[in-house]
Amino acid sequence: MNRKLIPYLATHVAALSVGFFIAKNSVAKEEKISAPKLSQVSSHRAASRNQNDDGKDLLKAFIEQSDIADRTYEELKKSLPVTSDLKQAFVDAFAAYNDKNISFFEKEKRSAMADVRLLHWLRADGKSALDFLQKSHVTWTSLDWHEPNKTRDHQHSPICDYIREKGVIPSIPEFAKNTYYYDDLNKIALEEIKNGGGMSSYLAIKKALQNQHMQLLSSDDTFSETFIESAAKTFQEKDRALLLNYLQNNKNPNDASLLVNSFAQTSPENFAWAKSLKGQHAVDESVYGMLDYTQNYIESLFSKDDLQKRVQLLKKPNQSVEDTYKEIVRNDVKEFLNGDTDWCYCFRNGTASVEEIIKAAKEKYASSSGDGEKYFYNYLYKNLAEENPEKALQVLEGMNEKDRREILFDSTWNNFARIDPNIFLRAMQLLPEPITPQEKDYRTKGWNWKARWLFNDLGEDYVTWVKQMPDGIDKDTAMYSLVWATRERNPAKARELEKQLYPNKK
Amino acid sequence: MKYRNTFFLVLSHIVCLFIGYSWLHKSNTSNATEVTEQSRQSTAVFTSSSSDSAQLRTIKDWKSGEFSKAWQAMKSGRYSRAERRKIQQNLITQWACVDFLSAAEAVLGEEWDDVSTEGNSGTTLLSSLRPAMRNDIEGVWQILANHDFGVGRGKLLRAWLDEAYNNNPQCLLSHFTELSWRDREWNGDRILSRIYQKQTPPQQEETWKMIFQMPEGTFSYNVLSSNYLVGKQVSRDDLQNQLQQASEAKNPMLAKTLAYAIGQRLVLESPQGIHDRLMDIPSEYRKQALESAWSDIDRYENFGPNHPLSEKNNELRKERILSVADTLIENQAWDVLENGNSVNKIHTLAKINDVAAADWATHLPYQESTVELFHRSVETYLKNDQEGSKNWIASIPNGSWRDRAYGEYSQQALRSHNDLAASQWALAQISDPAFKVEATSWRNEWKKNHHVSDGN
Repeated sequence: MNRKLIPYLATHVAALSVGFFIAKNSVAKEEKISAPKLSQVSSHRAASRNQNDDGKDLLKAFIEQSDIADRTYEELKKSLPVTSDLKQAFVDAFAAYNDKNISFFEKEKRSAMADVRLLHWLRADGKSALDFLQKSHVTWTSLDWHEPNKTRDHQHSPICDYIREKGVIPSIPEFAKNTYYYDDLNKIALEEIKNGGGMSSYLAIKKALQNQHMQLLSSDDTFSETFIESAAKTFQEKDRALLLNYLQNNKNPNDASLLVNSFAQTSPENFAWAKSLKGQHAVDESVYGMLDYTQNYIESLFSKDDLQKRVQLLKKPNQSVEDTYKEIVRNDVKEFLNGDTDWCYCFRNGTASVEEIIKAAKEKYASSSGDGEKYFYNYLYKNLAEENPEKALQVLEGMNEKDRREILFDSTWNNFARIDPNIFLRAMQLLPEPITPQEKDYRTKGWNWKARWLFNDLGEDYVTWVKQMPDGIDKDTAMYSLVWATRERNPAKARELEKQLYPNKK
Repeated sequence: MKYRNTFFLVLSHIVCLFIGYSWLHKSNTSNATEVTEQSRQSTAVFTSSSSDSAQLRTIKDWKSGEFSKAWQAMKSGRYSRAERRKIQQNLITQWACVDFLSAAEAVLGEEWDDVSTEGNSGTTLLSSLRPAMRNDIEGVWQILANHDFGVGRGKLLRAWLDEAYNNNPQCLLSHFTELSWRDREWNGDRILSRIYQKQTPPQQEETWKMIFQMPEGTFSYNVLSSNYLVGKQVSRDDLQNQLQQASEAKNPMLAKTLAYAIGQRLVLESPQGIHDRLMDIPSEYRKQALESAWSDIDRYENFGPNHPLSEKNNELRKERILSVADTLIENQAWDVLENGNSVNKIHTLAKINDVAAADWATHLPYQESTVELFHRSVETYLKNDQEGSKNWIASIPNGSWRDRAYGEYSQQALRSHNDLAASQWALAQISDPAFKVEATSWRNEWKKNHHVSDGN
C-alpha cells in the first residue's frame, strides 16, 4: 500500500466517524424527552393581550391530535401484526407505556399499543389474559387512579372489543369472577339489547348471569338498578308481550317494577300501556308500586310544554305551589345552560348576549314564559351573575322594582358558591342601597355564609385578600365573618387575626 | 494545482462526514422500536389527515404561546359544557408540562366550580394541573411561593399539598415551616404518618432530628407524640427516662413530645396521683403533659359502663375534669385553656354539674384568652336556672367577671327564653359602661335577627 495513502485514509475514516457521532447525538437528542421546565414567568398574560389569528388553527390541530390514543388504537387494530408470544408482547408494550420519561402524546400512543397487544392476547386465550389482569389488578388500578386527565379508558377498550366480538353470553363465564370488568360487560350487554335484542336479549343475558351466580342484573345492587333502567328504556313496542309475560311470572318484584317503570318513560303510548295493565292482567300489585309513585313524574316528562300541568303533577304534599314552580324552572334553567351549548362559558367570554340566551331558552322551554317567566329570570340571573355580574343585570331589566330587588338581595346568600370571591365582591358592589331590614340582613348574610368555605378552600390567601379589599361594608362584613370562621378552628389565632384586622380596637 | 488538491481533499472529507451522518441517522430511524415507529406512522397519518393544519407542528413540540393561543381561541367557539371541559382539560394537562405558571393562570381565569358539586362526573380544570405538579413538586412550590396568583393561589396550594403528600412527602416536610398555621394543622398528622410509611428506621431518625429543630408550634405536640411513638413499645418509666435524657441533651421539643405522651392516661389516676406524676416532670415540660391529659379527658365516655370514666360514673368524671382544669390554671396554661376543645370539656362538666362549671370559671384570671371560656362555662347554668342564678351572679366579687356573667345572663334570657325584660334587667346590672355598650349591642343583634322591638 502506498504509504502516502494511509494518512488520507485515516483522516477520511475520522471524518466518517465524526459524521456518525453527530448523527448519533442528534438522534439521541430527538428521542430524549426532557423533563418539563417550569418557567417562573407567565407568557399567558402577554399572549392573551396579543392574539394572533392562528389560534383557531392551533386549536383545531390540538383537537385532532388529542384523540390520538383512540385513533391509534383503531389504526393498530387493523395494522399491527400478531406476534408469537402474545403475553410477552403485551407485557413489553405495557412496560413501554409505563415509562415515566415520555411525553403525554407518546404515553397515549403507547397505551393504545398495549391495548391492542392485550386484545390480541384476549382473542387467542381470553382466560389466561383475564387471569393475568386479575392478578395485576392493583398495579393497573393504581396507574389509572393517578391519571385523572387521561383521554381514554385505558384497557377497557380491548375488554369491550373482546366481549363485543365474542358475544355477551359466551363471555359471561370468563367474567364471573373478575368484578373489575363488570362495567365493560354491562356496557356491551346494554349495546346488544339496544341494537335490536330488546327484552329477549335482556332475559337471555340475565339467565346466563344467573347460571354463573352473578348478581349483575339484579336490582339488589345499585349499579345494576341503573342497568335495568337503561335496558328497559331501549325496549320497543314489540317487547311489550315479553315484558307482560315477565311481569306475570316474575320472581323478583323489584326487577319487574324497575322494568315496567322505566319502559313507561319511553313514550306516552308505552306509559298508557303500562298503566292499563293494572287490574286487567294477573300481575302482582307490588310490581306497580314504583309506577304508582312515579306516574306523575313520568306524565310530566311528556308535558314539557304545559308548565301548569307539570306543577299539578309534580307538587309534593308539603310543597307550596310557588316552590313547585321554582323547582321546575330551576331544573329547566340548569338543563338549558348545560345543554348543547355551554351558555355560561359563552356569556363569560362575551360571545353570547343576554338577549340571545333568553331567546334560545324561550324557543326551547315553555317554562321560561308565562307563569314561569319570573322564576326563569331569577335563576337565569343567578347563573349568569357568577360569570359576569355587571352584564347579568340586563336579565332583570324590565322587571318590576320589588321583584328585581328581591332577586338581587336573595342571590347574595343563595348564590355565588365556590367561585372566585372577586366576582362575588363585584356582584355585591352592584347592589342598590338596602332599605328593608331583610335587605340589610341579606347584605351581610352572603359574606357570613361564604366565610367558612372561602377560608377552608383558600386558606391564608383568603385572609390576605380580605385585608386588601376596598374599604366599606363588604370589607367590614368579610372581616367579621373571617374572624368568626377562624375562631371555630383556633380561638387564639382568631384573636391574633382580630388584632391585625382591627388594630385600633381596644 | 496545490489549491485544487486542497479543495478536493476538504470536499472528500465533508462527503465522508455527510455519508457517516446520513448512514447512521437512516439506520437509527429504521431500527427504531416498533412502538416508536408505529407512533410516528400514527402521527403522520393524523397530521396529513388535516389539510388545514398540515403546516402546524405536532403538539408535542408546542411552546407555551401556542397553547395560550389555542386556549384563547376556545373562547370564541361554542361547545357543550362536557366538550368544552374535555378540550380544556387536555390543553391544560399538556400546557402545564410546558409552562405550569401560564396554565395555572389560565385555569384560575375560568370558573372555579367544582364539577362534583354540579352533579356531573369528570374532573375539575384544576385537577388537570396535577400531572405537571407531580412531575416537579419542588419547582411548582417555587412558583407558588414566588408568583402572585391572587386569591386563587389558595386553590393551587391545596392541590399541591395533596400531590406533595402523595408523591414527595419529604419535599412537603422541607417546606412545612413556610405553610400557614391552618395548613400545618390540617396536614401535620398525615405528613408524619406518610413519612413513617415511606422511610426506613434510619431515615426516620434523620427526619425526627430535622423536625425537632423546627420552630416550636410547627407541629402540635399531640401530632408529634402520636407519630413519634408509633411502633415503639415503651412503658411510662421508659418515657420518664427518655424525657430526662432529652432534657439533659437540650432537646426541648423531644422532651415536650415525651411529656405529652406521659400525660395520656393521666386522668385515670386520682387527683393526688395526677399531682405526683406531674411533679416528676420538669416544670418547663409540665404544660404538655397537662395539655395531653386535658385532651384525653372525655375519651373514655363510650368505653362501656365498667370503665371508671364512662358516662355512668359522673361524680368521678367531674372530679377528674375539675382536677385537671384547676391544675391548668395553677400552671397558667392559658393557651391550652383557650383552645376550642376546652369548651367541649367544660360543656361536659356543665352537663354533669352546671354550677360546678360556672363556679370553676370564676377562678380564671380575667384576660383576653379566658373571656370566651368564661362565657361558655357559665352559660349552661344561666340558661338552666334563670331565677337561682341571679343570686349566684350577685355572689361573684364586683368586677369584670360579674359584669360578664350579667352579659351572658342577658344573652341566655333572649336565646333560651325569649325574655326581653330579663335581658334588659341583666344589662342594667352591669357596672362597666364600655362593656355595657358591648353587651347591649349583642342584644340589639339578636333583636334585629328576630325582628323584635321592645322600645329599648
